Amino acid sequence: MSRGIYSEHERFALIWGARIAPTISTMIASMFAWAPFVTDMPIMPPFGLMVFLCWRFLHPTMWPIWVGLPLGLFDDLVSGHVIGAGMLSWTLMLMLFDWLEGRIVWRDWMFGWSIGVTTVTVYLIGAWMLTPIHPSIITLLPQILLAILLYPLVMHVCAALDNRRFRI
Amino acid sequence: MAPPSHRRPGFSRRAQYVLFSGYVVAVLGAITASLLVVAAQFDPRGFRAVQGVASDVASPFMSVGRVIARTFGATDDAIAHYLAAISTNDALKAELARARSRLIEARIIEAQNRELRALLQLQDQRPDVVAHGRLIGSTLSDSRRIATLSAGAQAGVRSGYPVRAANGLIGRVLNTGTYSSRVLLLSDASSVVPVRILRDGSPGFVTGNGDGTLDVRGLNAGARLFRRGDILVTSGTGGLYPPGIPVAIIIRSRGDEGTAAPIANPGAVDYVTVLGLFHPDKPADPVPPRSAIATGAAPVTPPQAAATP
Repeated sequence: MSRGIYSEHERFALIWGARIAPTISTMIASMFAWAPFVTDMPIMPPFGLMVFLCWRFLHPTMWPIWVGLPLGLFDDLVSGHVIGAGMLSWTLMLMLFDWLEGRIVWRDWMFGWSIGVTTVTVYLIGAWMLTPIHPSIITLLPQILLAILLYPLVMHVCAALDNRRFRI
Repeated sequence: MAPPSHRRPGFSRRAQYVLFSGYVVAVLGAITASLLVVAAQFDPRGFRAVQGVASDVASPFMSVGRVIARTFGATDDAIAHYLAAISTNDALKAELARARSRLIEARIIEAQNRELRALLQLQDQRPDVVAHGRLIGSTLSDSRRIATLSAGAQAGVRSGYPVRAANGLIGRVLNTGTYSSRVLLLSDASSVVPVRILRDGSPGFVTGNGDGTLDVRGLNAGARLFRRGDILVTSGTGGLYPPGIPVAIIIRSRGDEGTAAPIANPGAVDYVTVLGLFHPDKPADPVPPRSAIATGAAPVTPPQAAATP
């Protein structure tokens, strides 16, 4: 078997940086929903989805088109959404953004923020609608507001991680 | 004009196949996922086993996080308590004086009550305590209000069992894992608890609003039933919840409806107790076989036909 031009360590760093680090970071962000608090309203922004989207916007070809299925399922199980909601919506998002990719000519920071925030808001409202017996939509507002405010922070964390992911 | 896709794999036949099969998997997966979503609309209690396993996996993380949160929370509280020590002390002394006289009254009533019960030869129907546990987390990013309890099927917890804290009702078990279970809180929109007003005993229902408050409806339509400060306790109607557990206190009243706040705050309680299912027509003799109450489904007992003479 050909060993190629890379050493063992370099090959591991490549796989780690290209595949494992983004996946693990998304899963860890989903696991923020395991914070040990009992609250009256949903307050935790969907960090898993936010990290997933940030990786998508940083590197449009990084995620394979099917990766929303396992990552979305994990997020559904962790967050308590209806099982299948995340699988379906994350996959549809990837397809939608692939379709939109070349149609958007200019991109800047505000654009990344606004499209990310719009996607997260639509996702939260969709997940709320899929819940069989759901409370008034006002109960979603704190969560959506927090997601909008924290999205730039998630973008910064992802970008910092992106700079370091191949250096292990 | 639409530009070419950036996923264009070039001339490599292998790369083209990988890309194509990726799309096939994604589309099939999306169809499966939408079927799962539709299934959940028709059977919200499906996937119980999967969610039980998920809560088992989550519970160690939540337990560790809770220890950390409590350590920091405790120091916060200690400082706040120290600052408010004198005023709290005065208030507590005044309350103690009031409470002493009420205690004496309560003892007299208790003694009277015991005599009357002996006279009537009433059998106490005490619900069986199944397990104790902690609430270690909740659905923080979903609009349903479901808490994770640190006791599961191994401790005898089954779905449907009521859960209470020392001062009031918390909710009921939705589904169980081996070491943990998920508890549907009172404030969830799908939670319905039959209650009565402690003041006059008139019946009603409490449902959750999803924002920490509860919606109360009286069964006597049109009558102005609720007053601010009324305490609601479980009535035991229809089984499931044992009677006499404090549920909520009315904070707003409008006609035969009202808004109430739960008495037991699931975010603040330390330990909760899982009770066995309550059967209105339970025979007075010993505990029924476990298998009879462990079916997990909501009880199908007739609404208290036997209890009214």
